[in-house]
Amino acid sequence: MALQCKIKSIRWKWIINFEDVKWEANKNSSELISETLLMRNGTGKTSTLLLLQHLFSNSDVPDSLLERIKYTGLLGTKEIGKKGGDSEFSVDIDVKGKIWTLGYKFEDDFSSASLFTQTPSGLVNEYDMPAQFSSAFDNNIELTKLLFFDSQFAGSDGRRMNKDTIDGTMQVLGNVKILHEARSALIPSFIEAQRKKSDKKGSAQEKKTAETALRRCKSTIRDLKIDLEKAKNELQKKESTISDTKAEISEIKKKSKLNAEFNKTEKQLKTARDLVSSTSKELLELLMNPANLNPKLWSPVREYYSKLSKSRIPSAIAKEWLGSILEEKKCICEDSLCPKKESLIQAKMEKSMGLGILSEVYIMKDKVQVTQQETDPSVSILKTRLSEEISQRDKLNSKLGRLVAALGGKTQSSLEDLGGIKKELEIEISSLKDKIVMYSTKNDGQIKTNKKDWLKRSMSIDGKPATKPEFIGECQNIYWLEQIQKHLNKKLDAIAGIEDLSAAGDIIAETFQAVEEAVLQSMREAVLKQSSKNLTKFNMQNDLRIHSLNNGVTCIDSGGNTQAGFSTGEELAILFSFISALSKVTELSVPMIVDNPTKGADQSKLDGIEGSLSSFEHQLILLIYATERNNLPNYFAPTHTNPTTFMRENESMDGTDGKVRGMFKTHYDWDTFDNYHPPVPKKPTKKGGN
Amino acid sequence: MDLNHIIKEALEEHCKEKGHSPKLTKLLHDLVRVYRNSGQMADADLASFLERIQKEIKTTQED
Repeated sequence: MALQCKIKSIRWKWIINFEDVKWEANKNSSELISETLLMRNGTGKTSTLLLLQHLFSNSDVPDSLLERIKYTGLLGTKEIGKKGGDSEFSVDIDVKGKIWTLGYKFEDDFSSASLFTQTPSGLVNEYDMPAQFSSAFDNNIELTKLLFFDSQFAGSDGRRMNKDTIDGTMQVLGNVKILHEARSALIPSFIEAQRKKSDKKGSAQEKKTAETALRRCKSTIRDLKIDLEKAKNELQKKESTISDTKAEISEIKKKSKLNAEFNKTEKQLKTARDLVSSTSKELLELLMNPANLNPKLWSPVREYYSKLSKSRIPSAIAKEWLGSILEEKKCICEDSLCPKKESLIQAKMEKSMGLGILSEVYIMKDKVQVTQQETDPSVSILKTRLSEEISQRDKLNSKLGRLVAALGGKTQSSLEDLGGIKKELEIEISSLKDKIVMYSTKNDGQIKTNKKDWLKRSMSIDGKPATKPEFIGECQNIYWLEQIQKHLNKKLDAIAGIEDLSAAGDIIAETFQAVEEAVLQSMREAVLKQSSKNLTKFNMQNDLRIHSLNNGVTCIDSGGNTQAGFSTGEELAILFSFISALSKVTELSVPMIVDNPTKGADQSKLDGIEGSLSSFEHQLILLIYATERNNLPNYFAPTHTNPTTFMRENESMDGTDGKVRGMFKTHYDWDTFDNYHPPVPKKPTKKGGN
Repeated sequence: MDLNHIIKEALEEHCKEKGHSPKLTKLLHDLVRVYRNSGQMADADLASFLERIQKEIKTTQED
């Protein structure tokens, strides 16, 4: 692939708050690979990041983003009468020494955006980047979301580096995403078209029923996908609000007279919470051992497996043996079969189970028989330990409450109000996460465990897919609906008499899937090896390291514990290591952009973030607001980064506008960068959030 | 990282496991190559591949 690209400049024309401003890279030093763009809050950093994600990946600009980037600068405050030109956003990209411009032109009312490419040989009204660039970025928003990174969502639960994103990125870079699309959409729709054309074999009624069910299935999938997107957007908003709320709480505490006491208690509370979570995990593992079952439950388990292994016959044997008896209508005692005996044999055959299941039953029976019913004494020890740890955690929580109460007056009521908001948000976030899992999980065990609530009547008692439209409509899981869809398609293929064509399609699908998995696995192994090597450059707490990429990025600490959430510093370090590894394995050198790299990070995290930024080896563009500059004083220096300050003409260094506000201009000197101090708004603006 | 080699090996192993004939294996390999190289396939070409695959399955079953 061998792609090397760098962003040379970005131009905003009559969008967000900008009239016409261009930023250029390496204005201060051509040696450095890091750039820092300082803009006051609400100017358009996050909107810029989102535009770049969509532009690079040739993805449609969603309505919400079009709404967000509507020009509101001097026109919004009626300081000018009308826009001075067309609204555009463009980026100059250096691909192997040649400049390509990729951009959007927006309709006057921002109802749509059309993409253009200025290639070295002329203007094209579509995405027309060089092949190496397109094969990495085109249709790969997963990759651009990783590369153009809004750190205000970092550290939540590592969701940014989840399975879909990591696998999706690798699928595109391994050039197998097209196989996935072919087997999941292109070939099935071709077969569906053939089915519609073919002379049907089955009855018209059969066909109509299956088609109605299929339509319902498709519309339910469509609805759930919309709900899933809504839930994801909602979650993102809530997480942004909770991050602001937490920052506000922490700011109030910092300014209070009890700051030292808060810090100490919060530290103790964190340790207490960690202990509760690790003991709960240990206890759960012990309880999963059948030998630790309650004695009342133990005997029935033993009895159940013994009975099961004795009274059932493997289905293959049952069918062959009992089937021949039924066929000959003669029992082994040579008596002829009466209808009653016949139905008894039939029932026995139906009750029999598959060989695979039966062998599991035998294994389980043996295990149960040799395992002594003896509760592990450590269960009770752990239970006692856990309740002590819970009580310690609760005590510290109460102490925090008392500290808040001790503050009294306005500070107390502000903290209590914010605490209430935070709690509410936590509940809402947890419920949204549950919803997202319900809609999107593909984990068979998880789906079956929640069958009653998630699938309702769309799965029959014996685990088969429903065929009645009203039952299908009750399903809340997209993966199960896709299984129902496959089942209905097979049924319709049989009715249409195109089973052979359908079987050929299945062979292709199986083969493509095997190829995709092999490519993913090889890439995961190579990237994991390289990422782990890269991560050693970062000073990780608890010796945190990347353990696997099979389910997105999973990390473990020195104690072998899986870590679910990351701090901002950790997530940046992991992401940088991963991107560098991916770049090396696929021979890519691509820019990374980080929006608000230090937002909400405390001092312990800032050291990690600084280390992460300094160790990145490709182009790095940071979008910051003024107060972030104080967070990484060593990094924002001439040895590390090129500075750019965005200020309006006539604006003074304290952010006060002159009598007549001018357009945004870029300043590339350190003096302006160091001394520009615009006022910090109390709350982020609804639109910008940055 | 030699992805073409990884793909060839994975495909051959899968086809061997499934008991596909060498001819069917080659057809599937060609199909993977076309999709990966051009990123798409015309309906007529896909129809031709599907037809050849069906024919090969039948021949193998008759043998």
